[in-house]
Amino acid sequence: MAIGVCVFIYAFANWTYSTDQFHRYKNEVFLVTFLANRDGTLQQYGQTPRPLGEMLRKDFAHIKKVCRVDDRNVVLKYEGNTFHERVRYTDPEFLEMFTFPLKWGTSNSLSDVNNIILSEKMSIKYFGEENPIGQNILMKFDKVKNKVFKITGVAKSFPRARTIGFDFLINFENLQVSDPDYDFQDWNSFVNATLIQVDNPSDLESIEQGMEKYRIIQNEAVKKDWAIAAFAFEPLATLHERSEDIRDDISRSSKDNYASIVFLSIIGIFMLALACFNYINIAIVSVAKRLKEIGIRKSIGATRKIVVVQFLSENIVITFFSLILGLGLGVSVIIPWFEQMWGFNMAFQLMDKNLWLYLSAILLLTGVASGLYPSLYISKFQSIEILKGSVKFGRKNPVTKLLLVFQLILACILITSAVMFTQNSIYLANRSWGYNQREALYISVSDHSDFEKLKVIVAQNPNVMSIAGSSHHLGKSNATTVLHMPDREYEADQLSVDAKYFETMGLHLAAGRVFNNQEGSDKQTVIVNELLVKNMAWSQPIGQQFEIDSSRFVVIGVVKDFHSYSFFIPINPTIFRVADKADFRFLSLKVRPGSTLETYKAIQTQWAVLFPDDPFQGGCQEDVWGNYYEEISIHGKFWRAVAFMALMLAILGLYGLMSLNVAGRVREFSIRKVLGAGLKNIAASITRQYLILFAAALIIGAPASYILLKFVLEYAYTYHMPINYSGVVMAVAILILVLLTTVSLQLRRVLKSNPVDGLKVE
Amino acid sequence: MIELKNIERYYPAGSLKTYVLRYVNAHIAEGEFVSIMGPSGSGKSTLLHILGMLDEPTDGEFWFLGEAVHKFNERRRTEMYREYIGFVFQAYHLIDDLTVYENLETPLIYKKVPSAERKSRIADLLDRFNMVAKKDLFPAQLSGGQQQLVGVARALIGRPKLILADEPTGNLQSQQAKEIMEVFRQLNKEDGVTIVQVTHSEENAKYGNRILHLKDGRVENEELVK
Repeated sequence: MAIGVCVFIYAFANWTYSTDQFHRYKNEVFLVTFLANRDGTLQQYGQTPRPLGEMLRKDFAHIKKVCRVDDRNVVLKYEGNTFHERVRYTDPEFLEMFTFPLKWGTSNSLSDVNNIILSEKMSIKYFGEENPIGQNILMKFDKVKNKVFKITGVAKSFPRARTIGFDFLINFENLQVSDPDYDFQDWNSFVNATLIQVDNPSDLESIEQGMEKYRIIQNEAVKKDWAIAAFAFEPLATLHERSEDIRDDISRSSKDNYASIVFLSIIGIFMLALACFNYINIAIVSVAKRLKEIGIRKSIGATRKIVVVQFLSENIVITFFSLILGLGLGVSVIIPWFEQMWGFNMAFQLMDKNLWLYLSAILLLTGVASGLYPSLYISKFQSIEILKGSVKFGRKNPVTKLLLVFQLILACILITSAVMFTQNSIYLANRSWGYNQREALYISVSDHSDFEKLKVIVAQNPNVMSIAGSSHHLGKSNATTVLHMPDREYEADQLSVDAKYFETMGLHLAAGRVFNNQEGSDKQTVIVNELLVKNMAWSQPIGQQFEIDSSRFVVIGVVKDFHSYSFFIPINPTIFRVADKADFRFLSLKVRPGSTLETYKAIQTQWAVLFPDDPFQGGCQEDVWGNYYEEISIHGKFWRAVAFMALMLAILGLYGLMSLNVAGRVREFSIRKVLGAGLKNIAASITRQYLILFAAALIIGAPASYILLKFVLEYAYTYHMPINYSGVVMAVAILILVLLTTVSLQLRRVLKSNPVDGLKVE
Repeated sequence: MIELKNIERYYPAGSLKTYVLRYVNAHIAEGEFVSIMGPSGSGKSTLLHILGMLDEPTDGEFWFLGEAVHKFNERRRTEMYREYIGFVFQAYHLIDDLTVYENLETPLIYKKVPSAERKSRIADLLDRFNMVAKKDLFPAQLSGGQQQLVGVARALIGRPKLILADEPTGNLQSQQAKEIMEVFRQLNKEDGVTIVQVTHSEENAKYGNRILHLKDGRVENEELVK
């Protein structure tokens, strides 16, 4: 079982580290990033100023290829299928740098501005299983501008382990079609990414030295806020490890995977340790039965070394069989279970030679680790003493007891984690978002006129209690802005909303007032969240002033802190500004309690009548976190499985140890029974020696699990339940229950035995 | 004191029954010293175990001090032998992990005898068997004869009315065996303890006042020792 877990951990680690490794030029392709000073610390950004790509291409002979990437939302239409999509505008080099194999078509077709390349997923979405090459698809950039593209390529489905992919690729030049004002030379604006490819990774050094020139150009061209401190290059091969720390970059990967590897490895080691301890314990005790064999072997001339080697090799054979079983278990049960839980495929392969290397390492390590002590212990005895029968064995061995204590401590820790993670997921499911997410709906709109049309219709719905417009929306979008104060520059999230937004979303006002409902008023005011007040150390937040883009704003209200995105993401300091009506992109609603779904469906139907060409985009506010809660509950499930396995191992160990021990004491118990011992007496004499061990294990295990779990929860969750002792207490209770069951099973065995059988003399 | 009526003991062996004891009838009066003799497999030990309530007859009646033991449940039987019976074994069966003193104390703990009385009873017995100096030794540190002496002492400590001895001298040299048998005789004569012993040795059997000869699970004949 432990080995099965190890196999799984290997597969998972292997999967994570294989991210992006399929790209041929993974060592030659670099993402251009820059560093900027934010409130005293340097923050790395994945975007690049627009002109930089072109200039790099011209100025450096070392740079073989340059590719700019920018993403835009559009509506795509093919026959009856109309969807909102995100399209990637790139230079034609994109598919040369990222070697995604194509299923159909040619990868160099992107150089034609009228061509489009799809991912396999999108091809299936619009065309099913048919080959769509040569078909035309209509792309609407907005209400008036659109363009027909010819499909010239479909990429094979991407490996799940990648940081950069795409749905649709079109030529970068199309940016000027969708946006005629698009200025390729504007240093004040960014493209989502610029990638370069060099011939030789060592050329990078000279390029880095040359970047100073661009920094100066950029710094002169832009306002102080956006001055770049330095440029940096991130190789594609290791991008997945770093992308979590780079802001606004186009790559996607999860830091959690690395934390998970660490945790999983620790669990794997725990499990193996438990299994080894079990084995050592049982080996020592059960060897009593083989004493005679050892005595005879030694008396016919076996040296201690020979005995040790014999036991070790026997042990490795046993470990080998458990390895095979474990591998089977890992491949057939644990990995599929995990994959199904998280919904992805780790592309685990049995033929991986590293896997076999890893497994042989485990084999040798566990084989030797678990076999060494027992074999040394056994071989130490003098053959004469063994044959005379005067050696007393096993049960007085302090190592056995120590190992059992250690096992119980580990089991205690793992059970506590299962209990605590379960408690935590219950807690998070009930934790407040800081606003009323249950009775809120949102709909995204393409412009202000659509907003007004929709508003008229929606307002007729009797379930709707309040309507608001905004250019950003909780859980969906926000802007980032820099607040200028006399003594500091401070970055905060910004949401532009209207006066009704606070009431509609159920945000709680802590001080001051919300915006006025009058058109044009409150343009120079902001409402901030409590965190910002706290970070600024304002004792009187109302009336505080700062500048944004050279104009002055005054704080008129404070709202209680709220979670925009999931509980994984820390709350940011946030300001609300009055949104310009022309910029409304979201319509949000508060509905009568209990009518959320009904209203949602009604509005969806009305939308289809109102805007037949524009697919509906909106939903219940409760769904904006995606599968967050699912993920949390998976954590609980995972830990419960781990704890269950640990508990099983510990019980197996305890049971095995006890039954061997009791077997070794059959004579003694028989004597005691003959002397008139009752149930209680026997129970006491069996339990006594384990009681101290249990107590010791729990006394060490309970606080240890408490401290460890506190650390783990704080590390793994940005927001988690208040940690108390109830989890530990429950774990200890479970453990005690299990221990008692184990003991009473043994007790039953002893009580049912006939003392006469135990007293027969061989 | 003991009345056995048609005691049978058999084990199912396939569809057949393997009889260990058949139609055993015996009467043992209080104060007697009875030896049971017979070849290996004649059922001596089984009979002794039934007398000691460690084993149950499959059939027949077993009356002990006027009570029907064959109708008792396990708890009553435990109470009964805890109260009236002491056992002595061929292999001594002392608890290896306990000292001589603790070995003697164990039955008293099971009988819930108060600590002060335990101390005095053990001190008396140790004194009587000249073993005071050895009370803190472990069984492995004693000779066979000494161990058996502790075994006898342990059987006596609960002040039983009946001592059952299963080849008590089988593992001992003749000199030590003689000493143990002398102790039994003394117990029987001076303290009036009823003794039933199983033995192979004619010589030891003659310490008793009556010998039961067992063969193939039946009492073949009874012999009175003059």
